[in-house]
Amino acid sequence: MNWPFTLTDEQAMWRVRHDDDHSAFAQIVARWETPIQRLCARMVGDIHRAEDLTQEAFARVFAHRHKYEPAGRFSTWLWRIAINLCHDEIRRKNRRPESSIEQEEPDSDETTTREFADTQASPDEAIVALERAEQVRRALMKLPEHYRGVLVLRHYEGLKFNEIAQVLGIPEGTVKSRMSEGLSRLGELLPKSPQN
Amino acid sequence: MKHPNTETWMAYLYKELGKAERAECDRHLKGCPECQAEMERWRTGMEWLDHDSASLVIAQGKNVVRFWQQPMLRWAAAAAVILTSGFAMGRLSQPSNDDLDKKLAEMREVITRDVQARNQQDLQEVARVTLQQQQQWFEGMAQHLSLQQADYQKTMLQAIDEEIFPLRTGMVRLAQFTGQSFSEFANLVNNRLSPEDNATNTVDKGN
Repeated sequence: MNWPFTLTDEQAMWRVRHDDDHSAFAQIVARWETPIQRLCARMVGDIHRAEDLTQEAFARVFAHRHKYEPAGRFSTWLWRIAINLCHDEIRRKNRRPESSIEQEEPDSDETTTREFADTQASPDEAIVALERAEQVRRALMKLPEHYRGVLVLRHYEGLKFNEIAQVLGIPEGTVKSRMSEGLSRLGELLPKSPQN
Repeated sequence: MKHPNTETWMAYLYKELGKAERAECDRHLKGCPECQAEMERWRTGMEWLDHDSASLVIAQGKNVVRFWQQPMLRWAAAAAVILTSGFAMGRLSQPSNDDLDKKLAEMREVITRDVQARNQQDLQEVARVTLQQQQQWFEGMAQHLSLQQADYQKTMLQAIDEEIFPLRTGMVRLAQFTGQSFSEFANLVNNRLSPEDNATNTVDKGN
């Protein structure tokens, strides 16, 4: 059924859960596809794999729609599904050392950065922006995944500490200590300021 | 000197502290080179991430359709230009007021029809594209689910090959060894495994 008005995520997911409402599901996908893909790309460092993971995350949402608890926020549930898929993917990659994420082929590096740092700036500025984005991406990929997840959810997706704690199912204090350790390591890996 | 803990510093850094606690942290920071150095490292990491996420927002913003680029407003602007130029031409050629009103009414009608037709077309196009996107999405998902099903089937077949087939082979060999047919041997094993069930079955059959 097509709805002429916008449903909240929770309302849409309620309809998906109870009526298998495809139109409501399409609304959810349209709203969340980009943020989820962005999260996956930042977590696994590969835009193409991020597209697959995003599709897998939504397939999982639909397959597990009956497990959705309407009392909680839909976004928390969705972030959790996506980040768990990313963790699985990273573990899978780390088990195969020949394709470890630290040694990706240059092509996939370039694509990730290009997709995410493309601006309307002049060519020189665009190159500088690309280089900086690449520096950040490489530094993030060097961090252990539990630090990376916290940094990405806070800085790129704008989640508060208590929301990150809910998504990851850990205490807020642990989120903050991971954040401090992640920032410290990032600060050691990168030059003093991005403006220089 | 007692340093604020990491949790407090993180809340300070991300502006989630109350006024009084914040002032306390500010005071501590001024007199503590150790915490200043720590803060410096955290801020470097934060600045890089903020800088990168801000450039991401700019990149996404380029796809935004500006207000004046919306189709309805473009047509409204075009209609306004045509009406104004029509009015100006009319004034220059000095026709009678009746003629002018009639011509304006005709033009208004033509433009209204045109705008309506165009809107209809736009709406149909939007509906078509949305439907197409939804179809593509569900096709992708169906493919994904069928692949998962195929994987599951493969695993089951493998389990049958690995577990059940050797078991049956073993039983056939044992049957040969005891000189019995396979079905006799299977019954023997079955009786050994659940003698009570078989006794009940025998009684039932007897009745």
